[in-house]
Parts: sequence; structure tokens; C-alpha cells
Amino acid sequence: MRNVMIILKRLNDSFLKQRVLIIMMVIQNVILSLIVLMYANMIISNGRLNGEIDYIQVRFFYNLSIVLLSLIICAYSPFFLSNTLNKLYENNIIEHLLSVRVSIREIVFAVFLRGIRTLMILLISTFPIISISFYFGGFSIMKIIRLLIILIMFAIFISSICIYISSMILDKNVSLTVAYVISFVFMAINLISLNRVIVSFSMTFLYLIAMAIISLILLSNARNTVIFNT
Amino acid sequence: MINIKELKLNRYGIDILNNVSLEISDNSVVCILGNENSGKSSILKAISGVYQNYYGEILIDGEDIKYNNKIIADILHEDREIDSEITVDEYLKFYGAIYNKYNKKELESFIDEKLKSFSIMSYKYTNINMLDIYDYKMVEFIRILINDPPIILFDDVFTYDNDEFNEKIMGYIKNIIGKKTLIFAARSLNYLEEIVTHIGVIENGSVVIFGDKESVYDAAEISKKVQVDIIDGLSDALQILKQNEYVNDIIYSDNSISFTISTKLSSTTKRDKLESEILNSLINNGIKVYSFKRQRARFEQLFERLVG
Repeated sequence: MRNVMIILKRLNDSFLKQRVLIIMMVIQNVILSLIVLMYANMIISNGRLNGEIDYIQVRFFYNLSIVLLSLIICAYSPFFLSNTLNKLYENNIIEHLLSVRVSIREIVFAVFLRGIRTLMILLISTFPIISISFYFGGFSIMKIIRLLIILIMFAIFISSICIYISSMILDKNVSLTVAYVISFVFMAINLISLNRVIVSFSMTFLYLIAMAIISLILLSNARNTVIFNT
Repeated sequence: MINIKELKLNRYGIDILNNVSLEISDNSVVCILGNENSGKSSILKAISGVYQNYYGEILIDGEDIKYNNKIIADILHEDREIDSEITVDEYLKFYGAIYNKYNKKELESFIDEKLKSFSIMSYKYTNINMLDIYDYKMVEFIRILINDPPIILFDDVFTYDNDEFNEKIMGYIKNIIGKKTLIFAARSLNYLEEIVTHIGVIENGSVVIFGDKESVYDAAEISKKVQVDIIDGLSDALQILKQNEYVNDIIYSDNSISFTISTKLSSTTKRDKLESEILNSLINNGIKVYSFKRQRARFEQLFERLVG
């Protein structure tokens, strides 16, 4: 774990500058706030006209929020993670780290933590705004928490896929394209199954466990692929 | 003691190393000679832990390196890290933190001291990518000194035709001879001949020969046997050669003399010099020499290029 923290610090230093991260966070939240405000304004205007709030519109508002969160995950993950291990490999950094007996597991884990940390900062910063739409969509706090946990796990899952791709495909453009295609396919699957999954606690739990296991398998395979490529 | 047993390495379907077995004793200076893509660097990378998907065993003091995470053998890489947006100071501190041998303050003063002694203190806050290859290799050497491992591996360190750099690095290497095991992967014995105790020659992933320097020279029969074809003055030539203390095993026919030059002359440079002295003495004494050449040896084609 000591080596992981040392590598993580170096990766953070050489990757996304703190200032850039804050700018990205502000821009995405401004856009999200505008969407939420515009849609809320539309629902209220319709309500004033018809004398009642259309619940279907509110439900749609809630679905739109989930899609927006999923989009954030699927837009950022490939961007941050699909060219990590292959870049380290290409730049001889993996070779240098291995020669000082840093294990591949530690390298993969550090890369994963670096990506997931950035992704989580960007994702969780949207939760206050997005939660408003869930709350007014008639969801209980427990269901909202369950949904947000699923989205966090989904982010981990997509990140693992991107890291695995980065270990397999050495060409940066190809790996970015493949990562985007696969991420959006899984986003569609996740959106389709989400409403069924959050109905019960046991279903949510099983869904989370399944994603966690697949993520672990992918990260473990990423390690094996690095051994093969090095 | 490093014990490499039947090391096999295959990458992308190509056999890089085939059954390489070597025994390297403590504090020896070994040079693994080979052409480009012969597998010499791969042996070093396997010992240092870069390559892990090999077959066979690499034992250091009886322990298999696959199951030992201690940095016993550190490598001075041939290729640099690229695109690293870090300064020399950050680079050395990063590896210093991984080695974990000094606390923060000690590490800082050690780095400063070494940067000064290598005359590259002015590059402390320069991006590592901005350094030329010679300064970079010196930074790498400092990195290894931070770790101070018992085994140091040098991957093609004297490839470059920069005498100032080569002599500088050699000066530091000479200070650690006898205290550490040093293994060089090189394309020639330039700069190394006087310090190596053992030589291995590798070709297409297989070790052609490995042993102490003299036995390798003897086995290769290189730079030892000389044949002189003479047009006129055979008896005078024989007399001149017999007077030379380094000339042995003289065999002659009608117009040809072959002899060996003493194996006590370990340096090929000295041997080359002696050869030209002998040739000059023959010519200066009015002997008409038709040709003066080394006899073909077992590994001449490979070895002569590498050594000579």
C-alpha cells in the first residue's frame, strides 16, 4: 500500500492539475443546474396552466437526471482511464517501476485509484443538484441513496473496463474508441436494468456484488496483460 | 551469488532467451556481450524483475527472485522514462521514497551531494526529459546509488561515443568494484575490458560461452594466433620473433609463420599494439611481409567484432 500511495502521488502530479479539475467541476455543475432549472420551470409553468403538476413529466425529469449522471460517468471514464497503463508502458515507466520491485498489482491499483478519485470528485459534486430531481420525483431518501450507490459502483465498473482496455490495446486512439463504445453499451444496459434493480434491497445488493466481482476480475486480468506486454 | 537456471523467455511468440544458465559469483564484474537483439538486455531485465513471465529460475543467494520483493539487483536502464513531467529532484525523490532507505532530510542532502559530485547540480529543477542522454544516465546512476544495492546491472551504458562521459562513469564504477556484483550488457568491451572478471557471449538468446576472462579468450582463441606470410627473409623473421618475449608456439613453413601472442596480455589494446610493433620490426629489418593476420577463431566473426 505504501508504494501505491507513492505512485498515486506521482500520477496525480503528472496528470490532471487541481485547477483544471475545479474548472471542469464548475462547468458541469453550471450546465446541470441550468438543465434542472429549465425543466423545473417547464413543469411549474405547465402546472400553472393546467392547474395540476404532471407526474409523468416529473418522472421523466428523474429519468433524465439518471441519464445525465450515467453520461458523466461514460464520458469521463474512457477519457481519464483508457490510456493509462498503455501510456505508462509506452513511456517505459512500468518497466522502471518493475525494476525497483513495485508489483504490477500496485501499479494497476494506483492507476485505478487515480482515475476513480478524479471521477468521484466530478460525479459526487453533481449529487446535490441531481438529488433535488430525485426527491421531487417522489423517491424516498433510502431509494435515492441506493440509486447513488449503484451509480458509484457503475462508475467503478466502467473504470475497471477502461483500465483493462488500456492494458490490452497499446494504440491510444483505438483504446479510447473501444472504451467509449463499450462504456456506452454498458450504460444502455445499466439504464434498462436500473428501474428493476432498485425496487428491492436484495436486487440492489446482487447487482452491486455482480459489478464488484466483474470489476475485480477485469483489474486482475489487466495485471496479467501487463505482465504479458512487459 | 546469482544462479540462473535454464532461463527461457518468449515474447509475442519469439524466443528471446533459450535455456540460459549462468553462475555469477559475488563481487565479480561480468560483461554479457552480444549484438543488438541478442538477448543480453533481456537477461538483465529478468534479473531486475522487469520480465516476470519467464521459465526457469533466477536465484540470488539461493532465493528465487520471483518470490522476493527486495530490490537486490537494480538496473541502470538503456531507455529513459519519457513524457514524465517531473524534475530531476522529483524523479530522484520519487525513487528514493520507493527505496525507503533515507528519511526526507537525509534523502535531500544525499541527492544534493551526489548531484554536486556528478557536476549536474544545475539540473536539479530541470525536467527530466530535457536532459541529454549523458546527464540522464548520471541521474540514473545517482538513483542507483540512493538504493545502494549489492548487485548493479548496467544496460548498454557505454554505447555512446562520449569519452568524457564514459570516463566519468567509469571513475564512479571503479570505486565500487570489489564491493558489489556488477553486470554489464554491452555490444563491445570498450571501456570494460580492464575491469571485467567474467565474460559471457550471447547470440540469438543462447549463451555461446561464459567464464572468466582468460578462459573465454583462450576458448575463443582470438587475438592470440597470428599468421605472417612472407615473400622474402623467413630466417631473419624467425630470429626476430624468437627474440620477442611475448611470442610463443612458432610454427613455420616455406613462406609462412604462425605464432601465438602470450595470454598474459589480457588487454586486446595491448595485444593490438604488440602486433603492430612486431609487424613494424619485421618491415624495418627489410623483411617483405605479404600478409599479417589473426587466424580464424571459433567465435571470430562474433567475438572479434565485439572485442576488437
